Amino acid sequence: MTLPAVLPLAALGSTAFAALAWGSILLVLAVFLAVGWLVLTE
Amino acid sequence: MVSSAVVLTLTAATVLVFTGVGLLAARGRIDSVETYISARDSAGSGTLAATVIASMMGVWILLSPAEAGAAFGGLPAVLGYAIGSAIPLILFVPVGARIREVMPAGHSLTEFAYARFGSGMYLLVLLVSVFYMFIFLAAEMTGIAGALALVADVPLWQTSLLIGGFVLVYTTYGGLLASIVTDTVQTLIILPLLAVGFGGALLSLGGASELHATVVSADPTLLDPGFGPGLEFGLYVAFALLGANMLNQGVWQRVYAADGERALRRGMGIAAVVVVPMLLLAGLFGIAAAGLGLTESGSASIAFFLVLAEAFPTWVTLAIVVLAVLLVMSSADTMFNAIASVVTADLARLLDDPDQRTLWLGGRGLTVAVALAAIFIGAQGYSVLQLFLTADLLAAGVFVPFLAGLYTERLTGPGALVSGIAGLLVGFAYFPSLRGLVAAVPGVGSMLPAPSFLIAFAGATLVSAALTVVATLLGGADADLESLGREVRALDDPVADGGSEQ
Repeated sequence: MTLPAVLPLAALGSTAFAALAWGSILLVLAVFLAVGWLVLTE
Repeated sequence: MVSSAVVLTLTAATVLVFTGVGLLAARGRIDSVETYISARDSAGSGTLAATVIASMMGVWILLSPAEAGAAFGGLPAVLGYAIGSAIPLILFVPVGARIREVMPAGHSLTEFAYARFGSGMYLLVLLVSVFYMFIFLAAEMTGIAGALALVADVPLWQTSLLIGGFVLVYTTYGGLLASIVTDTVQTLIILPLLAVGFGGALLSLGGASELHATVVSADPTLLDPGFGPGLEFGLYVAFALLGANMLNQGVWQRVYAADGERALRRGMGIAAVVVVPMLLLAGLFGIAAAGLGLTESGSASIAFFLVLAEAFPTWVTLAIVVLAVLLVMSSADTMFNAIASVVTADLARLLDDPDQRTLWLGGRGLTVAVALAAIFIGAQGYSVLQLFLTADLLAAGVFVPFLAGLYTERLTGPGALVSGIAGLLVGFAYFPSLRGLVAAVPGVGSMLPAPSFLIAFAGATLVSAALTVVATLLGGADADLESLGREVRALDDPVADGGSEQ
């Protein structure tokens, strides 16, 4: 089984790409703060 | 290229610090085989999240998602990897609660398989689980040895021996407790290091907009979320990750380590949230490598490190080296103890009333044996991708009937075994990597369908699931799930820390 070569979705634009990259970095940092706080308050 | 002496010194300093942390954390606290392989009800939600993140996120996150992004379909392949890694963690919330309810004094998944299904399914689960965990371990050692060889020309055996040897020291001494404590500290370093390292890398590549323009001009399909081959890869890798992680004893140990159901729910939930951006970021650098034309010579498997060598300033490279070493250490200690715990828990049942000394020797001896084998394999520089996929396929065929035993009393051992084997047969028939082997069976070669990873993984999972439903409906068994908890013996007769009886 092979899926169609390209489904009709728009390629990721420049803004969305930047949001994906920097948003991921910020989310990792946010989880770091959350885990750190939870560990320290256990 | 960064100097090998600098990288080796940094690696040695990192492993020394965490070996010290592991030894100090476990000092005087490992008083029985029970505490060596189990840390029951000891981890709050933060510690649980940290140890699950550290255990599951090995150096593979710097290799496989980047390779997927570069060579297997760009963004949708990376998204499949990221979301597929989170799904098992979310599933472990209800499944983990059920495991703790059905077998509250349990230690391992094979213990459950034997008590619930008998010896046939036990052997199948033991084989698949240990094979997967050992391949994971070997892949980690191979990955870090290859990465440091690429970044700083460090000989494979030096990296493998240095990291494997020190992890062995604190894991053999401190067992699961040492693993969880070091995991927690490592996660609190890994997460900011990853964020800062990747942020610095993104900036050194000219920022997100310039990188986007480079990738789009090279190959726009790399950033197309609807790109067919990428979607196909994303789907089958999600099936592969699901089965393999549900049979990961390291996660089962942490299910028992959770300090109650709330900690289990929050810990697994937090881990599931963070693995998605971690894998997305790693995958984006594979896409960047392809866009920069660095993977044209077929070197997609080291795509992340090609970008590292090409464009990153020295401080980012060194930060990534520390990150990679921490990722390996935190996964390797989990696998060392997980494999040892499976066998130690089974020894207690298989041997006729073994004493604590025998169990100690079994547990620690096996940790050493597993570590030495992994160090040896890591120093060889083998390609372990095919073995990894094979281990994933085996797990995909087995995990549904195995887990169904937690929920239904009507599924028999033979019913679960037949469902699992049927799933595996479907998987083998379609699995491209095993075609030569399967075709060698007389009369089978001409009957094999067209190969497809997607059908192999999805077929193994779905066929075993469908047959599990049929076997459950037809099954006349009336297994008593409530009795399972009483069949599992505790291993906590106190002994001295050094391993001799008091």
